[in-house]
Amino acid sequence: MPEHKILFTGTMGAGKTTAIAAVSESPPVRTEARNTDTEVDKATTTVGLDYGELTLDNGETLRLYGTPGQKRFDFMWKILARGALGVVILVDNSRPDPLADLDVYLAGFKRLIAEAACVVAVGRMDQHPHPDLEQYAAHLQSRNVLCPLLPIDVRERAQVTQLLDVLLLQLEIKAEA
Amino acid sequence: MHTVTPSPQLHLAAQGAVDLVMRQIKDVKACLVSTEDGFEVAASVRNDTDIARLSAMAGSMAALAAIAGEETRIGQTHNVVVQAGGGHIVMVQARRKDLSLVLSIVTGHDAVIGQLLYFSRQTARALELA
Repeated sequence: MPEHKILFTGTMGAGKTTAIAAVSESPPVRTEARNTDTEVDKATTTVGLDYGELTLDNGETLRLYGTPGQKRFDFMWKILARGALGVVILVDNSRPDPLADLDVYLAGFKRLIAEAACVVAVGRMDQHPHPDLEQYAAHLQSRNVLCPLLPIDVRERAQVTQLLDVLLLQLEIKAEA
Repeated sequence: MHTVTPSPQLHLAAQGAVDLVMRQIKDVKACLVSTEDGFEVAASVRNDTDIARLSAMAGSMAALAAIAGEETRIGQTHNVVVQAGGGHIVMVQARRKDLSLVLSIVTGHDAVIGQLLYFSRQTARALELA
């Protein structure tokens, strides 16, 4: 049966590892290391990749890859982007400048976004409502990126599944175009 | 705060280890001790190796090698060896209680692989005890 590679990217702490764990059928592969970056209050960080799998109702398999978030690991972004059908950019709305964070990944995955499908999902909006989705939409438009935008709680399996449905719909639309 | 950073003593010990490697190993081009999440702790370079990039790559490669060993059930990974046309890279994890480090040694093609493996393992063990 066909298999499709999907990337999850975004800043450290945006929820990439959590999102994959929420939907993966088997315990995901993780490559976490103890965090020594004092600018981020987080015990561990992904330094290689996360990997999980999800089988769709039609029998097709999604291979879910999580990238390290920090720019110093952008060599992994290039490696993991090879052969990917789509990318989910997770944004943490509790960070000081989420729109600037988004720009890093729009630039880092520019080619993949242009050639494949992309969805931007914003987390922690319930407690941090600004920027709001309209601001995100305007920002994406200013960057000439046209892709779905939604709020998300990556701990909720149903929401991550919906996110993947939206991404796959993007792929169908592109294929038909 | 959840983060752990290398102490000044560890920085000193790491620099001492790097300096010793640079003296001991034939045709060595660069030696680096980095944190497992990709930050330089101590380094010495004789070629144009980008230490910041190598620090990040060492973290990724050590982690991927460790998970490969786990997933294939062949046990704890000892090191990663890259053999290239112009030399070698050996990466060894130094597993400490406070935080793990990665020792990376880059050599030219005149290096003796056995010597490289021996000293890299010895140096990693010294970093674990420092």
